[in-house]
Amino acid sequence: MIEVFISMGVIGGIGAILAVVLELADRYIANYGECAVDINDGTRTLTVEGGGSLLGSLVAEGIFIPSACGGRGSCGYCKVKIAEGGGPVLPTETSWLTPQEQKNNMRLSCQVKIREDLKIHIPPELFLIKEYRGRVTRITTLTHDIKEVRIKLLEPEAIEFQTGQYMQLTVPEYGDVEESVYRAYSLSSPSFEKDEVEFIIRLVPEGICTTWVHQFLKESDEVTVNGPHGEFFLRDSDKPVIMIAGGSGLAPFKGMLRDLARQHSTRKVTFFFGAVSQRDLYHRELMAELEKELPNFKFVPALSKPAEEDRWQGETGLITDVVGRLGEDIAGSQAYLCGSPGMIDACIAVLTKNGMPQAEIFYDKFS
Amino acid sequence: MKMTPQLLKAAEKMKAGDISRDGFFGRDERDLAAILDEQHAACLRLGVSYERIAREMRRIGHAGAGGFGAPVEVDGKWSVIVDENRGKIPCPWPHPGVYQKTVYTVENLRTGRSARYSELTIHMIFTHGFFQGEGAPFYNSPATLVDVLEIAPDTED
Repeated sequence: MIEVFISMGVIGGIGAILAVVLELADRYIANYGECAVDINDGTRTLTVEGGGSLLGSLVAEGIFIPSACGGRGSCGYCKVKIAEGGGPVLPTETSWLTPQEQKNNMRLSCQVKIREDLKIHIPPELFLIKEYRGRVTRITTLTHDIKEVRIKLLEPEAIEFQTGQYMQLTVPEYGDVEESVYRAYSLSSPSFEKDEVEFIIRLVPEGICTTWVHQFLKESDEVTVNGPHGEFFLRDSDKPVIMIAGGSGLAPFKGMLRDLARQHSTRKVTFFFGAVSQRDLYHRELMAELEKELPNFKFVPALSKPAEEDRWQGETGLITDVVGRLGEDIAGSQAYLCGSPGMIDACIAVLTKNGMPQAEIFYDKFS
Repeated sequence: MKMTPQLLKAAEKMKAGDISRDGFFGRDERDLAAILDEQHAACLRLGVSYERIAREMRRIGHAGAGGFGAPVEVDGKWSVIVDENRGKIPCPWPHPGVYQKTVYTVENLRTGRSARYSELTIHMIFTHGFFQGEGAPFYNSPATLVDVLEIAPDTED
């Protein structure tokens, strides 16, 4: 029996050593020279040094493929279509790609190494995504675990986006964090503010980025963001709007409501904001101001477990219960939701049960 | 248990600052294999498999999900707070899989003792038998979990 374990150990050890040798040889000895990356049938052609990952090479050329894990192969978001080159699909990719995607030559760009000329296809809107250097002009504590960060754009100095979209904030190396990473946050600023962007960021236990924002980031620090990303924005329509959010999910709605106020909109908007107790509520004064500016806007904060000292007079109960009380009045409305997956799924169930078609429900899940 | 290439890769990812701010080892300076050995032995002594501990963590934790951050009483025995945070975190073991950054706080209403764990914690216990190193942010010993979640030994099922 001992011999079997020893043999397994020896074989495992040899395999590990060979893998390390191959990796080192690939990194330091192999020379792939310059490779051409043709994007969208000649729309743009890059000449890059071979040997790097496709994702990293695209980012270095200012083409930002969405990725939540920073290229570690653990989120499955950075898919691109590779028409030529790229080699076989790796075992690290297969679990992220459906059989149909594999058939269509979709790949995880973080796992594809550039060893030859490539022809790839990406959504054209990704060309609009840029990296911006900016300076933090204001950090405001909104609640015990939520901060608002405002950034003045330095280079480029202005951004075009649709209110409600998100950007990715780059976290530099700090403390034990030895590798720069980036994380996505909804913009809370409206699209008419082109020279500044704003985010509302809740502290996530053990979160690398949120800890940096809450404990290390200071006003006047320089930061890097890229974007805009996403398809969460207010659709052109006269239908009444129901907004539902919890926690930092208020962010996109702050921008949308400020946009509507600037347009002197008369569209009916009801914003339901769910929180546990009063200490989780914020921006109530801003919402009161918006209620004055927008004749058909109503802000409805709801507490699921108000503390005794809150002396809460407003709506009480889960946000799903509060929305559910509207009944079938919501059938002709559009709904916009931003918050945790559990809250969003539960709210969608309530809305559809009361007659709202799925096609009129738009959401940004924290996932 | 030996430190296999897989465990070496996982241990590298578990260091502070790699996939989480404080890492998965806490104050424990032993290697991953030694921690796993000790925790598996602890489960054997308690007479409860780590898979069953993880199943109970999941069952009781998920039962509190409807509170959206407010306490929910589960089975008349526990008060559960579920905090769903933005984003996902990968498992440090070299296999695909990302887990929502959900944190469960379970308080035993009879004893007042509590356990705080994440969705990733449940996965690591169920799939890898790893309860994390003592002092890590979501560490709970097998004995603490058995006590708080009132898990009877497997033989009594």
